Amino acid sequence: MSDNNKPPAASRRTMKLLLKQYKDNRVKNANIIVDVMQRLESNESGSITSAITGLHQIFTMVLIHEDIQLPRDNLPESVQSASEKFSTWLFARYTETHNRMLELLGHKEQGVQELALCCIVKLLQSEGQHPIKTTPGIYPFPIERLEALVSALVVDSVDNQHLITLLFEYLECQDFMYYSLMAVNRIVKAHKGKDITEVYMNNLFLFLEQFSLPEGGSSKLLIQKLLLYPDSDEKVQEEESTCEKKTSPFTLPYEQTSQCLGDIWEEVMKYSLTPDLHRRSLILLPDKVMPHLKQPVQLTGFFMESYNRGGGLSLLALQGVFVLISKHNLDYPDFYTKVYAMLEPTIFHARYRPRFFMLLDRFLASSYLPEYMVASFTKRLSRLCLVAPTPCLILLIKFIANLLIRFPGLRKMIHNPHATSVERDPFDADESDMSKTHASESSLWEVASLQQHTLPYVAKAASFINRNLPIMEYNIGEYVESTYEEIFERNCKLTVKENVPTTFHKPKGLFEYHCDQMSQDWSMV
Amino acid sequence: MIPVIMAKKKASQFKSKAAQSAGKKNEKKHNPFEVHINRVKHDVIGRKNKNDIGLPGISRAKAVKKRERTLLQEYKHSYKSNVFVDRRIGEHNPRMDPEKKIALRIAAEKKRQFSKKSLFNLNDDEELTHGGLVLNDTNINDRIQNSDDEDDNMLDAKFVKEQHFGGGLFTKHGASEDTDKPKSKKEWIDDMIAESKKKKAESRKEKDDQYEAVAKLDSELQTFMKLMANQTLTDDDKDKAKKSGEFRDYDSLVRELEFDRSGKARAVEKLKTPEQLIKEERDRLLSLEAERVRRMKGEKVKENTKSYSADDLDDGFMIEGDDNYHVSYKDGKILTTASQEEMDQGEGDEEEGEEEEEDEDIENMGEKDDDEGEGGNDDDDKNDDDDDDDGDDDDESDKYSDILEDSASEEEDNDIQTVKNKTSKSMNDPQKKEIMEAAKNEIPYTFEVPQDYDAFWCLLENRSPSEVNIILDRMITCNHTTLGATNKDKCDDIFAYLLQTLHMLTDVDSDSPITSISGMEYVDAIIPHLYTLTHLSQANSAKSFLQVLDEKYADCSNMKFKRYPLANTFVFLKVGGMLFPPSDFIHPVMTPVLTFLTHLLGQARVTTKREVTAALFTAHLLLEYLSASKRFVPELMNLFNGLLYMAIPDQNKAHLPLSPPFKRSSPAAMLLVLESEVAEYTESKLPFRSLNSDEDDLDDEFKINIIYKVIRSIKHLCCCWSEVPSVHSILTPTYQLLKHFHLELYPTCVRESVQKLLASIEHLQTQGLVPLVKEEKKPVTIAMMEPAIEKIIDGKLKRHGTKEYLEKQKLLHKLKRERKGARREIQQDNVFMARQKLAETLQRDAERAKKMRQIMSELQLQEGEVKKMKKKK
Repeated sequence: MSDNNKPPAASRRTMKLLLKQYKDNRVKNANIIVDVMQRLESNESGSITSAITGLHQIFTMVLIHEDIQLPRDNLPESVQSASEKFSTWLFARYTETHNRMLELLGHKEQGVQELALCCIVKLLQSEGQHPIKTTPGIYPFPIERLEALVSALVVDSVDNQHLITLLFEYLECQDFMYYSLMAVNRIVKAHKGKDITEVYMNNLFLFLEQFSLPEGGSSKLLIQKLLLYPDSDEKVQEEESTCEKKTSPFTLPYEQTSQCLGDIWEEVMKYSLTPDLHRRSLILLPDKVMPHLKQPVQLTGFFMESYNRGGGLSLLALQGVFVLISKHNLDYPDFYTKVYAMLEPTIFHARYRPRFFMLLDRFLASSYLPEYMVASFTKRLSRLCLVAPTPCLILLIKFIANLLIRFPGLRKMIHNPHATSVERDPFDADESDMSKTHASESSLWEVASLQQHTLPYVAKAASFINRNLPIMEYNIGEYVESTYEEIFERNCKLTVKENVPTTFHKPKGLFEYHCDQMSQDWSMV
Repeated sequence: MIPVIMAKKKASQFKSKAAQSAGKKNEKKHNPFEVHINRVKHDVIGRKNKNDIGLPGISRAKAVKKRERTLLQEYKHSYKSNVFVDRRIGEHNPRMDPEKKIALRIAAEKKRQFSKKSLFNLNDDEELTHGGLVLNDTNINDRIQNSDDEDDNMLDAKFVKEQHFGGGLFTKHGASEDTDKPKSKKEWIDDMIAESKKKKAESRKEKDDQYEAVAKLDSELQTFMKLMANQTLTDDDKDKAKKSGEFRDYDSLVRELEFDRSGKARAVEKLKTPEQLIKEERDRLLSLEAERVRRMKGEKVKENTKSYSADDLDDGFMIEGDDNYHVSYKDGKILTTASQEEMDQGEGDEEEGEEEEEDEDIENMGEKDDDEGEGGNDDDDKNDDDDDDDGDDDDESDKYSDILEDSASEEEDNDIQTVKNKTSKSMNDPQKKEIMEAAKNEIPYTFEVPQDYDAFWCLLENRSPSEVNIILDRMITCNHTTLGATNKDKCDDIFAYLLQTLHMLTDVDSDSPITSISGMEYVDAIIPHLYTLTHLSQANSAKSFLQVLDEKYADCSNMKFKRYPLANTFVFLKVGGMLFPPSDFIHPVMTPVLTFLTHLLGQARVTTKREVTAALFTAHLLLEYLSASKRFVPELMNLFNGLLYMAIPDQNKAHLPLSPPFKRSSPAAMLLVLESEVAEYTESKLPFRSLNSDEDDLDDEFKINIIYKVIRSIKHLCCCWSEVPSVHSILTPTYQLLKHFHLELYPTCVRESVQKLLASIEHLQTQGLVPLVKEEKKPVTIAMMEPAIEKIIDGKLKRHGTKEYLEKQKLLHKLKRERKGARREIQQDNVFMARQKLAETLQRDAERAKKMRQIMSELQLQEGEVKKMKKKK
């Protein structure tokens, strides 16, 4: 450059000083950029981090002051004016910095990686706000830079999950999400036919889990977060009213996005998923993807396969299947029978127990269900009360109460004054066909048994059958996640009064006391 | 200045005045401009309103006058320490004639002068008094009379009560002369006066008589004494007098009882209250402890050091032995003695002695045995040590210092330093040494509660379980809650220490007081004391127990309840049920314990021998807790079923019922399957210790033992839960499992018990079920509203509420009024004072101005004259 009068000692000066100098005269002291960039090569992470922050600040300044003015047409160097030359040089440095940052994402230290990522995103934001090339009518998002970033993150070999999680905050922004979705789509397309590594899938899934399209496009959203316009709401209105010609606010092209999402998932479904990813996709699909697909029925195969595998997977697939049945007219006659069969004691120790019970509540929400079916469910649940762990008992009791409230026909199960005494329970627990279980002829003796439960908390809850049923249903969500620890804590909170009852027979030893039953089986040593 | 609060008075004045004005309306007419009439909004005919008229001018003038009389006076005297009181006769009576005034004064002066006995005695007219009585000759001598005189003026209390306050008209006369018509008031008063006069006269006469009698008796006695002065009583006379005396019966009776040996009149000890018993027990322990300390120190008991009396039957060899050493010691500080002693000790239980010493030190029990260790030291040194120790003990422990002081004083009583030396040095005597050692090993009789757990543990170190039992017993007795208020805290401390000790004893590598004895054996020694302490302070024990339980639960929670805890957790779960009743529906301690047990059964895995044992222990514990209340826990049955499942050898037992935490596919699913047929089996008890052992050899005998116990427990459960409505459904899985049992592998006793169990389950199943029917509730009556009937009496507003409430409201109202009045009075006072001060200031200013004017005029005059003079010149 023309003014190359800076001494090489610049590298020794502190970053703060350098920045100050640069701020004083951006053109004269432009070589500081080169100095700082040299520091990126160093081995010390400390100097690298300082260099990254320095570059970030320098280029933020550059972008805000719009120092880079690219010439319209590529004139030969000789013809360019000095300022144009400077501008070109600056742009080259900027691109170079960006590339260096992307390289630094693979740095051995995590702190450096994260800082580099941050720097990239921030520069991206600044560039978007002060675009180098303005094309009217197009949202000024630096797409290339984002694509470079995404493709640097979603790679085959390096696990970048910790970095991707940092992007979650930005993925809430509609514009950022849209463009990264596009970028991901491109990457997925590029991987078509190639070998799919597990690392790649893990990286990819993190992105996929964060894409949440608003139903029916962005216009339905009340608050639309944008990366380039952090306080977009007011700005949008102002711009619309005052100067229409200026950069129009970003609107999510719903059609394109959903199409894109569909494409991605179509590809992903072809991958051979690991059990973990399988589970994740089962959770992800019904909530975030299926509402946006044109033909969600295409996923039926996937769900059915998972559903039939049994165990945890079938539990997770339930929701998807249910969505397909209820919203997309999938005909699946044995659905309830299968759910009925899932009600086994093991369900209480499954990982997705809360989810299952929430879903079960939803499945049984319709009042059009035949009474014999709900009766069978009720009776089966109440049978489970006899083997269920204590924290689930409250859940079961409340669930049964809800069913009784919802289906008044079942109330004869707790109040049947006309029936005569029976020899044994008419309910057949081993019958898998719900129409043949005779559940509605039975009574909920199990709940009555729970009234004699050791813990007063459970016993009290079970006594609901003696009272009139409440009008409002219980919120199952409150009870699905209760644990033994909660019950213990609750019991420990009982106040100890001054005259707390004590025993009145003096024990002689650990197994010698009044009315002991254990001494016949146990001895001290 | 104290503002005069006259609200109340003023109000009453005002009222009375208003009433007066109403009454005197005819006599005195107010100027209509001075009368303020309170306008009545709603006039009610027939109601008299007292406050409808006010006289502001008059009342203001009154208030000002009153303030002048009170507040102003106070103000005037406010900076004066003395007040001049004018006591001249008639000075304050303006109406008195001045001549008469002078005459009266002269008369008084004359009288005073004449009454003086001595012209120069200035204090003559002052009389000394005591207790309100003038101290003069008559008073001192005639006390009785004087006091009687005072009484004389008073009427009989009963009389006063009846006549003055008793509403005598109705009660007394009505009762006595109901036939007569009631007397008129005048008659009655006459009667009363007559009666009171009569009574007074009577009592006076009585007192006179009495006085005369006393005087007579006095004079008689004097003459009698004169007569008797030269005569003395002979023994015969005395006897005679006794026999003929009036009080002979009583005296002889006393004597008789005194010498009676038949037990007829023997004094019996009073029955003691529990506190007294405890105190006695403590006293006994204290005295024993004092003795022990003495023996430990090598001192003889007091009796032994005494010179023996003539009736001593002992041969006295001890004394001789003493004498020897005594002499040898007296000859000089012989080193050989010391060295010998040291040697002896070296041979003896030196370690034990040291440990003992440590113990003692910590217990504050005693003077560290300097005599023993430093036997060769100087005489002086020893004494110093003793003194020091005494001092220390004083600081450290009050109780014990008493004992020490006692012993010290005893020593002082003996008072011969040589004797003390002799006794202390005589330890060289082997017998003494034995006694000493015995004393050292002997458990102290009193215990202070240690400050921290380490000190507590030191107390128990090297003690056998029975000794630990005694130590704890004594410690609790010494610090019984009935003996002092602070002891309650101490008992709580002991309780906490004991819990901690339980934890330590049942730990895997348990610390035991004696290494050769396992810690488990001490558990039994501790439990009764926990019980005692729990009864001493129930709430605090419960709280500290809960704290331990909470810690234990947190420990298990950290392991996510995957594994069964060790014995040091189980011991608390077990002890809990001994201290607190497990059958309560809800209990602040036992409900958490039950939750804990349930959680263990519901979540912990059973994969090893230890875990099988632990699970069975947990189940047995829970079963025991439930057996009284017959309540239901699903986890309990799940566990028994799981254990049964483990014992079924079928490969494809997947169809059999099983509930978590047991897993079908785990390797533990075959844990309890017998390897070969077992014909002989004798039931054995499972040791509590095995909850800690991690050995992993599952032999067939153990398996059978477990299965047998499980089956017996299920049998017990069948009985317990026979009242539970769905007992059949609860036992169905068990029934299925038992049906798949390979009974042929098991010995006959197990087989029989399984058959019995099956039979009893079948029996339960045949019992019918009654469909659920809600209890019929009484129809709820519509809430009836009491009609609010108001009694309207003379048109006053009726206020509602309880009597107390109304009273309170009334008082509150009054208070409000009073406060208002008081505030107003204070304001008025302030206004008055301000006015007063202003007047003073104005007056002062006026005076000053006047003076100024005067001076100025004088000066002008002067000046004028000066000018005149100048002009003249």
